[in-house]
Parts: sequence; C-alpha cells; structure tokens
Amino acid sequence: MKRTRCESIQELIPDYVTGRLATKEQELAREHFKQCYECEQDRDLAHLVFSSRAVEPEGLASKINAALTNQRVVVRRQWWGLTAAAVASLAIALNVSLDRSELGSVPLVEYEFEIQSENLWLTDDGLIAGAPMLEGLSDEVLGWLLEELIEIEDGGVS
Amino acid sequence: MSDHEWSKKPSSDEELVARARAGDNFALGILVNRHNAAVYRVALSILGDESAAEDVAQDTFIKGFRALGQFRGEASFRTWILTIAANEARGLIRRIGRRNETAIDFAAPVYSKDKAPDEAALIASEAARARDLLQRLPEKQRLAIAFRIDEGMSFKEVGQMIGSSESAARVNYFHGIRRLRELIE
Repeated sequence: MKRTRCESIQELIPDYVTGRLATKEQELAREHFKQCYECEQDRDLAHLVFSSRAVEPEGLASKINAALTNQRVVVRRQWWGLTAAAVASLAIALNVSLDRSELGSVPLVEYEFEIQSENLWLTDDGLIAGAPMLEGLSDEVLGWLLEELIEIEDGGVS
Repeated sequence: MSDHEWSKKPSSDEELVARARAGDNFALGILVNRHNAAVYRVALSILGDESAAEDVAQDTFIKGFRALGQFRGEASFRTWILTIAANEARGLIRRIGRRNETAIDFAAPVYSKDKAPDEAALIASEAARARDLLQRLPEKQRLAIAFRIDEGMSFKEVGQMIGSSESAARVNYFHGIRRLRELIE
C-alpha cells in the first residue's frame, strides 16, 4: 500500500524534532508543515514530549564507573579467559606445580581456588582469579590444553 | 595506541567494545558516559521511579559489561545495552510488584534564547503537562512514544524493546500520539 505524504512525514517527525534528519528531508518536512495543520500539530506535540524528557541524576556516570571498579567488573576475554581458566583447572586437577622462578613471580598455588565471581581476570601478578571454566570444552580442546600443560612441566615456557 | 592518540577523534561504540574486550577499562568508562542517560531514561520509563531507575542503570552496566563477550554486534551496542536495561527494569517490577505511579520530576525544558521569557515558561508548562499525560497511556503506547522520541529508536528497535513486531510498535506509537493529543486538547 502506498503511503500518503502525511504518513511519510509523521514517521519522520521524531527525527525532525530531535535534529536527526538529513538537511534535505528536514527541508521537505518543513515545507509540508506549512501546508498541513495535522502534521504541524503532531510535530509540536513531539517537540513537547522531547523537550521534557528526563535527564539523568547528576553524577550517575561517576557512580556507575565507581560501582564497576568496586565490583571488579572486567570484560570476559572469551577464548583467552577460557584457556587460562582451563589450564589452571587442569593444573589443580593434575596437581601440577609450575616452576615460575624464571618468571620472577609467586608459585602457582596448588589448593582449590575460592570461587567468588562468575568472571575471569588476570591479577597484576599474573595469577588467575575467578571461577575456572571447563564446562563446554570439547575433548579436542581439553586434550590440547593437557598437552600444553605437559609441555610446560617438561620444558618450561619457551 | 596511547590514550592521547586515541582521544584525537571520537571512537565508535564498536571500537570501544573491541577495546573493552581487549581489557581497556578506559573504553568502558566512555561507553558509560555515552549511554548512561539513555539507560536511565529507559529504566525510568518502565519503572516510574527515579531511585529505582538509578539502581537499574547501575546494574545494567555491571551485567552488560560482564556479558560483553556475548555481544555479537547483530544490534548496535546502544540497542543491546538498552534492551538489558529494559529487562532489568521489568525484572525488578516482577520482584517488587507493580510500577510506581508517583509523579516524576522531569527536567525543565530548555528552549532557544530567541523565545521570550513568558513564551518559554508557557511552553515549559505545556511540555511538563504533555509528559504527565504521557504517563497515563497504556504501557506499550507510552514506551513506544518514549523510545521513539526520547531515544530516537527505529520502530524495529522499539519493537524489540517492547516485545512486539516492528509494525505493532508503529501502531502503538501512532495510537499513543493520537490519544495523547486527545488528552491534551
């Protein structure tokens, strides 16, 4: 069904009153409003609605950013995070201890991780924190991770 | 790239999401600054309570960023985070009961300086009344108007937000506008 001129213009009114229309469309709409009382009324109403929209409370962005920091929200790095967690879990399962002396950092702990969050991240010292995730990994991937662990134990990190 | 180099031009949301996924917390902060107002308004439209909307805005970003790895870019980041906000707000209503119908303090409208003070005051008063009357519309009509006008969403996006098809979102919007005009007149 072919749209009337008014229907086409009314679709554009929200973008017109908020200044999102391209110059040419804006000009076409403006010309139409001069000739069409109904559309002009709708334009004025949309303008009233838009001009009274709520504004966010002062400092909301800072509050949210502070909450993100306090809750240690870090974006999950899907494959990398999964690999790190899986390696850590396998290490625990196999009671593998890594000689990290060459890396100049603390040896990896051999007891269970305390699961405090569903998220994963690397701490500054390189230790893995968060909930290890093995669920969902294929046998092939698990096998690959196991090989990686054995290589590390045998020859260290190249 | 250093922050200094990066700040030379505004980054798109997609670029910021990619940087956030690479561990750049600065990018997260920019996304918050860019979208917190819209997230707050969406929550407020659904909840009708400023304090609850503020809490939902905060929870939205925490949950959204934790799930950013699942963001596939099929919709824009803005639509994605606003959808989370709408779901969070609806979840809160399910948990605590029905929508708060108390009056909301909306900001005084700002008009161009070429308006005379009396005229500006009159328009401000009409705008506040229009917003007040908007709260009386059925939810889907009210949200369709708020999301289309306040946030500039397409009807397809409005449909996603209110759980309707694109055409149903369009119908809700235009019925809402007709009804709002009747209430005002």
